[in-house]
Amino acid sequence: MFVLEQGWQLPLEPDAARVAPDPFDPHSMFVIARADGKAIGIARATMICDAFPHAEFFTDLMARPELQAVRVAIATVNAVAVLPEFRGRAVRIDGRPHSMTAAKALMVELTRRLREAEAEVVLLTTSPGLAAVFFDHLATTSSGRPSRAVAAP
Amino acid sequence: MGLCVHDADHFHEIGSPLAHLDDGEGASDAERRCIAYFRACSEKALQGKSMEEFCRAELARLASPAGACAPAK
Repeated sequence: MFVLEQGWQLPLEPDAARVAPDPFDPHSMFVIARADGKAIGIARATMICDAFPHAEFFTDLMARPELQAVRVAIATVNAVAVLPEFRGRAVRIDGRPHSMTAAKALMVELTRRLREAEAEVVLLTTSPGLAAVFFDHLATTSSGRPSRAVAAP
Repeated sequence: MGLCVHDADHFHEIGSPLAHLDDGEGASDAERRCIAYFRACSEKALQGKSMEEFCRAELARLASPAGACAPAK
């Protein structure tokens, strides 16, 4: 999704056969949505005291005393991705009475796990568009106007 | 077709990890200041617009010749 749809250029392994491992992955938690056994969506979260992916986007924010005071309880979420055919489509959740989109289900589960990890603040970046509306729907607040970052992993 | 999210058991509500502190109950002073800061940031960024209105305006601005740039992430 990030490479084909958004044009990101991910670092490759020396033989260029596949994408190099992400150094933040071992410090992160993942949730995966599956339909009929096939992975259709994923989301990643990291407590920033363990590792801080895309820290460069939050430099100014992290300098704020309001954030410094709760630093140990800050997490960041990224790599939220759902296959195109499952986007915006409410689906039944196995064993549950409620239907919702795969993206929302992923974020619900990730939020639950972050609460268990004693996270109080979650930071993420998104582009202006459906993704921003989606995160707004999840009761996030916008910390500023969109940045003009060059696409990167 | 069934969707399975590993170990999920709370699908009936969603919110930011701070949402349960909306009324300030149980929040530390540091958390209250953080909540207040983010709310102020959001009000300043959105300027009374809904997020959808905000995004439409931003996309129009970014797509204009003066605002042409690499996609924000």
